[in-house]
Amino acid sequence: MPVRSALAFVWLANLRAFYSSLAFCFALTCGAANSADSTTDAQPPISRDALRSGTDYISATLRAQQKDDDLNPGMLWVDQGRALFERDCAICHKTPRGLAAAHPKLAPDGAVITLERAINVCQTTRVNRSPYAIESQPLLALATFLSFSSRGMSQATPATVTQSTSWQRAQAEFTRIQGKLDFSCRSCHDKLYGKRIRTQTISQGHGVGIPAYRVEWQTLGSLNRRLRACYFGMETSVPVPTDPILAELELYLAWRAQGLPLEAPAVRR
Amino acid sequence: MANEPAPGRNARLIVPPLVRAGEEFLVKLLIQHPMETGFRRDVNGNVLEANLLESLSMDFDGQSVFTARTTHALTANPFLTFVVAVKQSGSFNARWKDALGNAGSISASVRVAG
Repeated sequence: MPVRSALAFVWLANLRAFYSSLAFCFALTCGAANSADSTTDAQPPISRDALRSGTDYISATLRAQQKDDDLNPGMLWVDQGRALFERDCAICHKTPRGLAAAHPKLAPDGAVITLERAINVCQTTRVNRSPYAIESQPLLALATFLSFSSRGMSQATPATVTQSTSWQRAQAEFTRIQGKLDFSCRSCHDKLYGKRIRTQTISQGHGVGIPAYRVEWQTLGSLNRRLRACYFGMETSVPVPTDPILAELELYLAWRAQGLPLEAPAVRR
Repeated sequence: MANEPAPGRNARLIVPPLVRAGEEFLVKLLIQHPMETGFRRDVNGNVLEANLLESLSMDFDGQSVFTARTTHALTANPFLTFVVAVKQSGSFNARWKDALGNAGSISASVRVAG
């Protein structure tokens, strides 16, 4: 009797080891499959047919103000950006069209080069002047003029962008639940767009109209500033403007909005 | 860090380039101005100095056609429109001045057909 029970115990122990090793192998293959999904075959969360610009979610009054260049206050920045472009940039760049559509892009070292950063790189290496301050009038003016010049074009993000660390970090940030209200960017902008949060209609959260004139700000602002306002709205800690996660989110948003035409300067509430 | 004001115009004055004599048309004026009320504070808690437009007027070839009293109820970057009819070609000139003494002006010409 003691011999039999001992044997049964050994058999059971073997069985447990067998099942746990099976489960381990299963987890391993699944894990491999999951990571392959998120790097090579990743698709934007909103299908191309379902993509809607933020302009579809604002009031008719604001939309009318945005569509008419005579009424759009962002055109003041476009005018000034054009003057700056003709003074500093036209020597090298034959046309302003397409420059904004080519950004944000990845540097060889894997960092994200946003339009504003590219302007400041040119400013220090080609124009030979000190870089513009973040959110300063001339930087906003140039970025707005360049985005305006690429109106109707779509931001070009190569399919391989999803293999970059920057994209992966941004995706993790976009889907991370954070803040006092306990939600992520994804909770609203991937899943609940078109529904209302208090008096506002939730948009899909694309940056194609930015730099945009925001009534709340009483001025025009960059995507960097808009993203910081998102963090503030989510009641979580707001990153500093130079935090790389903001540039990485700009890259992720451009990838996510592939196919939507640029329409800066937009007008938002 | 360079933080100079951007070059170029800080206002837009839009009129139709070609009109008929006596025909009414819309004149649109957009001015880049903070219209700071003096009630707001910056991130450090310091009161932002009030800076409102104090006078705003427009003439057509020297003849006054529009004046506005611009107070703190007006938004930043004010946008103003009015309807006018003219008999002969000429130019509209807008002039404004704010509480800090900064003056601005812009003009646009309109041509009467025939």
